[in-house]
Amino acid sequence: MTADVVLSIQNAVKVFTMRRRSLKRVSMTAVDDVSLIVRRGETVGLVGESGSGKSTLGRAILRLLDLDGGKILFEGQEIQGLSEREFRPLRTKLQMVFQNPATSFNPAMTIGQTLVDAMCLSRHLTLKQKEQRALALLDQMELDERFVALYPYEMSGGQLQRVALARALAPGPDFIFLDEPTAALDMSIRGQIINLLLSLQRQSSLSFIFVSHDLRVIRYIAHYVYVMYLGQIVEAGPKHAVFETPRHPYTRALLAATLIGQAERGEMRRTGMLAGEVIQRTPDFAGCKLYGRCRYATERCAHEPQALRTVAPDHWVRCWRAEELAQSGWPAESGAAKEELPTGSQQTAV
Amino acid sequence: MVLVDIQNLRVQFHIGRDVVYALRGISMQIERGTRTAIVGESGSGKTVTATSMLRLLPPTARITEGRILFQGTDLLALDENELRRIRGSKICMVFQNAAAALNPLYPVGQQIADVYHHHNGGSKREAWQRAVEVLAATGIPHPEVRARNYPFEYSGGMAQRAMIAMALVCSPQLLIADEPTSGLDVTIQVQVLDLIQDVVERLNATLVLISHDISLVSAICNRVIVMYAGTVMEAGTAGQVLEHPANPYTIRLLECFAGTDGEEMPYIPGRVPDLREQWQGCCFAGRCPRAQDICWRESPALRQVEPGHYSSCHFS
Repeated sequence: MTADVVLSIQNAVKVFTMRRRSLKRVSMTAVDDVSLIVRRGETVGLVGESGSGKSTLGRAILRLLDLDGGKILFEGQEIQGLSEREFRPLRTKLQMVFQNPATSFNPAMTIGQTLVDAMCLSRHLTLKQKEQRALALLDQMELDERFVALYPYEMSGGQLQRVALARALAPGPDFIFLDEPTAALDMSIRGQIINLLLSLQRQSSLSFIFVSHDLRVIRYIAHYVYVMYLGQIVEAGPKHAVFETPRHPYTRALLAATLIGQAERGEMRRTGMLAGEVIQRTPDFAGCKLYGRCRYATERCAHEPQALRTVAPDHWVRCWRAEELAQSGWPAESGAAKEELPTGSQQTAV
Repeated sequence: MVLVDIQNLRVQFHIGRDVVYALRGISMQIERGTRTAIVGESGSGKTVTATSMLRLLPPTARITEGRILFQGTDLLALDENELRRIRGSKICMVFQNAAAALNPLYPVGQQIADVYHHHNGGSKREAWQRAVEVLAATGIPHPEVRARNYPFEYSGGMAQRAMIAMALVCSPQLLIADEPTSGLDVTIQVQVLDLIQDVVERLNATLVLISHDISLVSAICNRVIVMYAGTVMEAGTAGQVLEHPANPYTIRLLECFAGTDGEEMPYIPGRVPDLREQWQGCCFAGRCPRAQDICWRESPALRQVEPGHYSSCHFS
């Protein structure tokens, strides 16, 4: 293991068991054999739609839940199985920013109290020092002194999300898990948060995992991108590889749906769209998880588990047709999966 | 021909002791057969504009001034009975959170059948069959089974399809879709937008699409109205507004969506003005790189910059 790897997740598995109305238990694999690494000073973009397992992974990294399999190494140390007492020193090193700033603050505490409270594990600091640090952090987030005395409800979403970032920075972390930090913000102010993160990373060697389904934001912030679908990584690679030469049909669908206005979009939209909605398969289904939605699916996709394999240096794809489809320019053909479409793009007349 | 003509509409909300001035004298015209997008960020007044058209504003709201002419009739002057004849049959609305807009206690098909029965009469059986037909037309699989399901058994995307089916059942002239894709996964968003476009074409209806996402609306709309802080900032064809924007706010907002080649992501510094306040001058002055003295003194009128293209800025 090289020294510059801050966080390494190896073959992570998380299975949730739910009881249905029929009292039968069904299990759902939220995270399915996921491995990823985060290097020092690098941002990993984690992309996927609801139910893809992004947030579950984040909660596991912060020990907010335990995995059912696999390892999480933080600076070389396995963090799973540590007792709360053993993990506590690491809490200051691993921080999180949540999606909705309006619900991730204690409404009864002022911003100043919240920030000082975030440093409760920093025993070497006096209260005075903590207060000074709180002010310095606010200043770094381009918020002036008067915000210290405000309550969360008195602030806008964009301001609160900057405070959330200050709160995550307060204990002096090495790594921050950012769970869709810009999703609740207007487009006109998302850039401010992104630019703050970029400048923080330039100043110190912070590492981030940035979760988002918004590829417009990922394009600015991430160095390396993992695309997830139903708990699996379906494509991974350096940002430029994933954005410019996407090799998995799901990645193409995401790009077609979000990067609207780009020249190639017209073509992508025609061949990139997915049919229907997410299909939750029973555990005995061995095939590709995108089977049934993917226009390029064949018989083989229904039966054969897909492995993550390299198609170019450091560019990984979980699709056996990846090279062939890219070479043939993603033909507008449709595969064998057609009759199984769950909701139609097929239109009947009124 | 103008289908909807909104003239100098002012809406206030009375919340506790505060008065929120949500719409500050807006005027807009929606031509028959167009697909018009009203875009703006949170607090811009786009949803208030849409709900005013159906007079579905919450009790805290007061319309203090203005007229909304629909085919020459002032919707604001109608009584509740007259209004009910227009809602659902002539003007339909698709709401943001479809799952919450459906009644949880009745099967989805029943709710659609009720709407049909209310406006068209006939037998219950016929209404039910019609409901199944429209569910099928919006791409819901096994519509005869799905019609008997309750809203909680639908996914978000399916619930939105059912809402569109409900709008479809009465063949309205005007379909208002208020953020129909927010809360849905991006791959589903594209499907729902395509469905809306398809339905509007089949009904030969006029579409008003409310959205915060300029790039989404650019895919299906041919006219765009940009709102900010309860004011119309710019209006024109999609080509005019999106490709040759005249208003500084539109220009900056488009940059935020499209991105630049630079390292940093563009954003608009500052924040939206407090809608509880009344101000002189331009509502965007505090964030505008081009602001001059006059922008703080005088509120710019919406004026024509080229045929059919309007902007409210002293300098455009």
